[in-house]
Amino acid sequence: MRRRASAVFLPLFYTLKALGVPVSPTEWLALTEALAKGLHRDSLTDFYYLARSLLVKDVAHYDAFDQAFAHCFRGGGLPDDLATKEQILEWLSDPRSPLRLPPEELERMRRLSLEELLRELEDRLRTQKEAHHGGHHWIGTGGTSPFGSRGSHPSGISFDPEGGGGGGAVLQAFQRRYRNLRNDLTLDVRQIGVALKKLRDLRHTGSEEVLDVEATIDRTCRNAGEIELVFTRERENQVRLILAMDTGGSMEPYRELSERLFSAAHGINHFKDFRAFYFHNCIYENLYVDVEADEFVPTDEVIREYGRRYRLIIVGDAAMAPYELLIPNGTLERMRRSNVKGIDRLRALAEAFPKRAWLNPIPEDSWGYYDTIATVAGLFPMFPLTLEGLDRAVKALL
Amino acid sequence: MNEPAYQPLSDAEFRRFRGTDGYVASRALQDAVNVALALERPLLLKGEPGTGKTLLAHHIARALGLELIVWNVKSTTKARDGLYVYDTVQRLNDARFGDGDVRDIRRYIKLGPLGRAFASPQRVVLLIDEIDKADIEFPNDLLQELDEMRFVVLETGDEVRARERPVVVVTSNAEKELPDAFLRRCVFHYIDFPDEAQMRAIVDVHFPGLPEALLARALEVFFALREVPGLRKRPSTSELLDWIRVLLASGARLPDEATVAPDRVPFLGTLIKLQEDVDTLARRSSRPADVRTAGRRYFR
Repeated sequence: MRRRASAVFLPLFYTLKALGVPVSPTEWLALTEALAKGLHRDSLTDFYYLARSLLVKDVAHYDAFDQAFAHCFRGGGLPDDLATKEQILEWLSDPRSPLRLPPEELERMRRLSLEELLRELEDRLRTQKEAHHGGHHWIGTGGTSPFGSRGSHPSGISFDPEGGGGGGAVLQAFQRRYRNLRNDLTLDVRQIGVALKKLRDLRHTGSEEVLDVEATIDRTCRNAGEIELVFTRERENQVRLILAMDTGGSMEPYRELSERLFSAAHGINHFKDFRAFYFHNCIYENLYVDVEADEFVPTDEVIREYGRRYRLIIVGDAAMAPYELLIPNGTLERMRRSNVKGIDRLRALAEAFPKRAWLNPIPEDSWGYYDTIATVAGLFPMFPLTLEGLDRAVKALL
Repeated sequence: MNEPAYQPLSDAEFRRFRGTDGYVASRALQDAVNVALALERPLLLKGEPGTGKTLLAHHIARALGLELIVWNVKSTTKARDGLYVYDTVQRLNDARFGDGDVRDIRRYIKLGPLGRAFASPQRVVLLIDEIDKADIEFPNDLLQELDEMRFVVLETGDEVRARERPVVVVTSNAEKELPDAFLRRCVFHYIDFPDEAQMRAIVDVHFPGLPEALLARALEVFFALREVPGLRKRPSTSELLDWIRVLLASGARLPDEATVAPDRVPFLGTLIKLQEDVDTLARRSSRPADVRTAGRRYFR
């Protein structure tokens, strides 16, 4: 009887799994045990809390749980909308520029009703299998399809994570209570943290306050039993790290990735000192401490203050317009006064930081398409911003 | 086929924790605590600072009439410290000066919080506070001990085994990600920030008979402050309670206008603790909210 009772809830388990919630048999057995003990009190509300507290271990997945629950017990929702949406957002994170449309085309598209749009969308979700950019039919970026982001369909359905798009989106799809707490991305913060932990240089430092038991016994014996305590210094990581991150427009699709790296480096309390700076497109005379508050430190000061003693990791796509790198005054940055070329700044930084690495979010096999990447890679050993690339970068920084 | 002899728990057996007269627990939270008690698994609590994660352990202990052992985790805490410490220096010292029986190594083994919780003859509540403060591998190092509720003192070969499995409450501020293996063994609950009705109940527990006009106005100002985008540290329950205490003690009156400018909120310092946030509030009150930049920040 009981065994069959728990089998009734198996669809919930598999729906959660399908939605990307990390559930394992351990959690399932725990729930089975709880059901056997009658902890659900024969009420749906109690079962909801019971199942959630045992199956979901991160508030970021509460939202997925709500959906799975509604789907399994109240017959609500598309079971796969979450997974699908993530897929769509992934396609859309590779943006193309928007398109201008002739007015008569706009008028034709405006006539589609919301219902028609939704029906069409469902249809296309069934048939579309890959990312799509431009064009007028599939879900994608740019183009005139009513579905996707940054498109120019006047009444289309927007999947844009920022809520932007052509401006006329009829419906911001899928809104739920724990939506803003979702972050599948933080799953990787731990992995990044573990990778960064390898970046260490342990040395005995600080005051002598740890008792060296072996040495104490040895000295005491030599001393004919007269105690002689030997203290030693604790081993501490000596690595000081500067993380400089590009926040320029072309980095927008990779922002979350950079944020992950930042939170990992910031969160692990691992480095002797850790500092983060931001820049736009290329490093010029200032490095920003706080982009929003417009607080900055002159790059020369950073070089003077931290050069040699710190390791430098720069995160950026290094895909600039050549003039940003090679022409004095080539920058778009406001209130720039000096006319040092971007490339000269980078060279000065490279000379000041013997241990340095550049992490590039653009996949390694596409680096050849950007002229400036090769130039920058000549100054900074460049690695892709992946776990594997990070591992290589850490080795190079040791 | 023999079914395992599970007896459904009666309502009284299951609902052992219903909050106390000093702690208002939502239904979801009560259920999570009771599930953890019934399954004897660690209860992992997350939530905004000031939502009463640590306090909950104290009140579970109170409600169940058990002793509470607190293990405050710091960035330098090692998993071993929680089990036991072998006091070599004391032993060497005693050997030198002939105090006590130095042959008995057990006299120099001092149990840590986890060790004491296991060794206690009665069931206790063990609070592992802010587990994410420690090293990234710290929770993993505790897995086996928490699972089996026993460990061996290497120096003596003695086994410390829990006679009564302690009720383990773990709090985390999500500074670091916890390892999956650790999470799998826990009962998890995220304490939502209380909504207005819950907040009324909480305030009522602390200040019974507070004048309704003052309460309503205070909550209005409080929740409005929390809504301001871009605050680094939003005021929490404990700050609200402090603030009401100060308001009562000083007899200050809250201004009547619909939206209160921050510089007119009496004792703002009890609610807002960062100069940065005070500046944010000041900027905001001097100009209307800018929808294009509100709440948007880069790497924070």
